[in-house]
Amino acid sequence: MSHIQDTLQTPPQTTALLLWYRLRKNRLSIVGSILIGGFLLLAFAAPLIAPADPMAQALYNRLSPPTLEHPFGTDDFGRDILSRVIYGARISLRVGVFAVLIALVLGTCIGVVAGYWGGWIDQILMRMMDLLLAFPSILLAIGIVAILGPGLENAMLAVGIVAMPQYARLIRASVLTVKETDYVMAARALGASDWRILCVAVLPNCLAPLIVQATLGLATAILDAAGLSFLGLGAQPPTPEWGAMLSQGRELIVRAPWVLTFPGGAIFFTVLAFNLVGDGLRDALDPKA
Amino acid sequence: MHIYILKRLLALIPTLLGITVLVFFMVHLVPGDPAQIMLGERASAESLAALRRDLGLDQPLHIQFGRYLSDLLQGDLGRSIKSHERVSVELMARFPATMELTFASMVFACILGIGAGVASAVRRGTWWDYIGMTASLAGVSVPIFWLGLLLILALAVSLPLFPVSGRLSSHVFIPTWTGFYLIDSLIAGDLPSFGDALWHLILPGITLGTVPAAVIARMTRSSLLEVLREDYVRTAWAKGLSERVVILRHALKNAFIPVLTVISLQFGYLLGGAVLTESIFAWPGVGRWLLLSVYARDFRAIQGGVIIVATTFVLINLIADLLYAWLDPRIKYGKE
Repeated sequence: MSHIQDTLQTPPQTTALLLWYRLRKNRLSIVGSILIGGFLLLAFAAPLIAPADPMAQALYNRLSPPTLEHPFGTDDFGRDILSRVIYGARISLRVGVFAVLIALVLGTCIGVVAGYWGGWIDQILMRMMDLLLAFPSILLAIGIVAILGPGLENAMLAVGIVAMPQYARLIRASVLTVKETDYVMAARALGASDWRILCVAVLPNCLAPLIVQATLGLATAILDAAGLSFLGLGAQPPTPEWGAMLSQGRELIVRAPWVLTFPGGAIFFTVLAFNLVGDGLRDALDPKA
Repeated sequence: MHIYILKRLLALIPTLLGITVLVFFMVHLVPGDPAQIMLGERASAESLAALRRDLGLDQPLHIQFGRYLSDLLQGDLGRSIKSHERVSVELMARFPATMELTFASMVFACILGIGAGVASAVRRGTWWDYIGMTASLAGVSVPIFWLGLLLILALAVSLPLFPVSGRLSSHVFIPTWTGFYLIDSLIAGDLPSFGDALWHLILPGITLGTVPAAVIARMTRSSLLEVLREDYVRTAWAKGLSERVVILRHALKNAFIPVLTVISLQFGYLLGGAVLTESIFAWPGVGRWLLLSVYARDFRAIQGGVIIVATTFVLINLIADLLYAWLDPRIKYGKE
């Protein structure tokens, strides 16, 4: 009976409502959204939630295993790992968002120019993007950090540049389709400028694949940036960044495994959450669905 | 097919040239004086001048590039600034270790990924499917540097089943022919050494192969589900063929082309991921060496390492392209 009611229920009319309608039917996406919400809460309310100062050292309490006072234990400087993981959410999410923004802005500009104007500009820009794709991503990121020097900002930039070609190719493909549609032809016939056509008619209609790519891209960006920090090329000690915390904890693997268990778990669940939501968005935005 | 192969080989030239240009400019994109950065703040004026001369930084850019390209074509990648050894010699000594790890990871990823993908697709909607797909989702999300450390903790420290690091135990010696210890020990007919080398490969192989296994599983499942809906599969069922024959001979063979694409792309991931895995397991390969060169800001070594890894990736993609054309003749006819 409920199945018949579901079938008869009229789907929402606007794209945003339709997206929400489809997304909320996907239980895994809901779990992912709740996890992301949790991590965002940790990031924004870190000073209120964290039980201790993430940088405060207590050498008399080094490598304490998890207790009621320190639920995730302490590291080799006696710092509270729970507080560092909570503050780490701020850094990792910030790195992920900025890296994706860098990739999104640069990739969109390149993709739009290549797709809309075509010709030799398209050829040059796309061959450059293909060239970047000829390198394994983490290797290219390491190469960029090698040039710019280690540090969180440089790691963020490297991860953004590495991800850029995917956005450029995606937006170019969308622009190539959208620019041939009747409404773009109509706008051109009415004398609209290229800039206006791009902003009003083309770009808003290329958003759907970008949203999916950006959500999945956040997961990759967080993972790659944590990887760079783990290798000592991203965030530097004593910054409470999850990858850097793992790097510091690897020497303590036998004596204090909790030092690396919790930061690694935080990376895993954050990446998993963005992958769950990204998969759900891809299904929800699939026109065949 | 010959024309297709020739076209694909010709298309390699601009890609390899592009990689060379990009890698050449690495040194020139360094903010400040590259020689100063490589030798440090305390370097004397004479040693700085010598390094600039050695790197050709005192020459005009086009001459520097011409020299670099001509050396590269002769297999000369210059000398490491730190060890003073030839970069090509250092790389060749480490390249087999990385390739052995990469291939071992890929074998693990293919067996697990294709197996899990087929089981999930064939038993769609059952617990097999849910467990397989949940595990694959976890697999694509796991940071391999964390997974590697957890595996060491669980299977090398708490339960000392596997070695913590390295390629061989200290008491084992394998005469080097190819640099691939598994092959060299077989050539020498030394089975205990083969076992030791294999034993050292298992944890790094699982660590590096987990993400590709998850990606391959997801692609195998979706590709196989699509093929299982085709008419010819229904006909095969209707003919009364066994499940094994329908799945393996009729469905999986046709579902394999997209899976092959994913497998070839995963080689890129493996070559990159080798840097992290080699760093965790002290694996003496190109990735770990490259990382040590980055710490030392040894740009000649970094340039050499990046060129070798990128070229390997491009060549593997070429082999995959040729394999698709062989598996699916529509590809080569479409392009000719």
